[in-house]
Amino acid sequence: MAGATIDHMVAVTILIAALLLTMGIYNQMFASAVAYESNRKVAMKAVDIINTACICPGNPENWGETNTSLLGFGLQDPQAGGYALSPYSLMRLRTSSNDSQLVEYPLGSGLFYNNISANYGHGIFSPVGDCLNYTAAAKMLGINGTYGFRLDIVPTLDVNVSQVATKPLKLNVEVHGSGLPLSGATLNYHLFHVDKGEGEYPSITKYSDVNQTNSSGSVDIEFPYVMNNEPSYSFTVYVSLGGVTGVGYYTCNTLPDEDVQYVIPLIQDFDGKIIIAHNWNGDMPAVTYNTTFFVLSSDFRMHPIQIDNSTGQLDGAENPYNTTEIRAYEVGLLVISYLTPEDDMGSVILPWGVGALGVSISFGGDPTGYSFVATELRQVSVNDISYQVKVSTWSLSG
Amino acid sequence: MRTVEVLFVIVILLGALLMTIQFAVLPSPRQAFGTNLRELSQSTLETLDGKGVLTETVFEDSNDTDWGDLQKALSASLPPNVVYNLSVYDISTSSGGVINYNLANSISDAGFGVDSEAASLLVTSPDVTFTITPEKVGEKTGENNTLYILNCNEANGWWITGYTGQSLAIDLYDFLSSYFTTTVLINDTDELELLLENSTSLEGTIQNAVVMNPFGEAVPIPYNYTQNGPQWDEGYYLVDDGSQHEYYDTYSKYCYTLRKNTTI
Repeated sequence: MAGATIDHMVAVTILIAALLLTMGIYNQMFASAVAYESNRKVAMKAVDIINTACICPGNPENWGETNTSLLGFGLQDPQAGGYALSPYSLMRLRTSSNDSQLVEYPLGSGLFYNNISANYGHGIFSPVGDCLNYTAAAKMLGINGTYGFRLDIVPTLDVNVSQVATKPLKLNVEVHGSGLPLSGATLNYHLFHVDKGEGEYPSITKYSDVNQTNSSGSVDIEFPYVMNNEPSYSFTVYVSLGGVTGVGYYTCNTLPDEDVQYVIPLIQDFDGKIIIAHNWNGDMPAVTYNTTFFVLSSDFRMHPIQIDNSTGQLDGAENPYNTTEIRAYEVGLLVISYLTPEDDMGSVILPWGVGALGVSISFGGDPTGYSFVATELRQVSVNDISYQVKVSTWSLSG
Repeated sequence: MRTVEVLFVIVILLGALLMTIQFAVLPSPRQAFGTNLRELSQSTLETLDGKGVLTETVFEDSNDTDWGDLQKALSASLPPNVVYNLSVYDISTSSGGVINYNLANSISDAGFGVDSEAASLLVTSPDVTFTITPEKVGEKTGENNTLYILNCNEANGWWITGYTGQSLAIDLYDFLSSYFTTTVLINDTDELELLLENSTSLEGTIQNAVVMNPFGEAVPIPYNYTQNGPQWDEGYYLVDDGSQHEYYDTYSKYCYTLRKNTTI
């Protein structure tokens, strides 16, 4: 009798152990399948989002060129079609993830500007009220509260410019593709040389030419007519080879602090109104300025366009800013040169259209901390400059 | 004895488990996505051809330096962990209507791995000019059809919003004139009268004609037809001489007459 009981107990114990083992394994398999399916949904949503962003212009189609509110999200250039993004729509994205990154001008006015910054003080300061924020974009995509996303739009080519020598000025341009130097690339470059000029305003002289990179993907460009010991200039170069294009730029100022610009251009609205503001951060010297808008053509030539209030004086008290207007429907560069009473000179560039200066943009949420993030990649062009768009997508439901 | 039975059950359970594992091969959740290579390659092709560079290159000789530039551009555009192969096929049609794909050139940076995707882009030689010759209406039956478009300058449209009859007439002329042997714009109601009277002064004898009225529901009426005359019963006159005829819906009658007279 005792033997039968022990037999029962052993049998039940082994049976329960076997059941637990198999249930555990089945559970693991099911969990893996559910996780796979869940991740698959996130990956499909990433494809949806990048397709909507890249091959849909939004509603209205030309929302980037106006101040109108947006009904449907999309970044495609309606004129170009295909995988071409609108250089204007990109300017209307609110890239700042928190309010501390915004710029308030005038101080205490409650008017804030989004800062899509480039190096050396160049940037696109656009009015926050007219910009599209992440939450609104997520609602238009129908994913608010369910999925998060982030768009990273970066130039395909990496173009580095550095100053090699002065008197005469010599610059070095290095072009890299996806980790490799780009030899034989054609360079269309423009030097905006700032000088004191004959009157009270500084002058801008543009020198343009064409060159080619050598076998190591770099080239030295000499400007024999720029013989200053401390030259002040801005330099842009457009690189093209086999259908891929890129932009590089460099600025040199004769200011005590290289990283501080005395003049900052702000976009007043997307109809082309620009505020040329005196730097409001600290005690900056008064300046006279001279500004020109250069329209960028499809063959990377620059054509100067006359604008209102092209010259003026700015200071921290009576003349804190001036306004001007540029052609809102043409991509180009607003080049502002300025001169202090101490003969310090500088220049700052406002790119009208993101591709004109190869500015990178990141828009959306922060994927940090999420266990699974799906990414998608596309090649696009922004006013003929090659860019890569990467979308990262994650599920907010865990 | 119970132990033996339980062992049988365990064997069955494990057998079922092993069979399930054998047949249900589930991928890792991390493998739920990989960059969509097909879309990436499609967008790369379209971007490279954005300014027509790809189109120009693929029609060059395979020894041309442009091919080297294209390879550099591809390598510079695609991520380092993606290998590529670009093959160009010359598409030709034989006399029997069979379409042939002949490999013209191919460039790649490495052999393919286990997984690959492909995208294609159809380009045409920049040296080729296409001419479209539309088939004329009635061409197959040997008819020379004439299109008459009413463009009467003194007429107003009826229930056409955002356009005028005249602007629509010009648009229709641009769209349709290549599909007819002859297209005639009827520029005023005097010319319309000539058309209705089958006058030879307009474009010869009027037959095999199509008349288009862009003025909406209303049809322009020649001025002479609005004057009192003997054709009141055809609806051409608005008001008769005080008799019972003034109560007729003369415009409807006019449309009826037009319909009857213009039946081919």
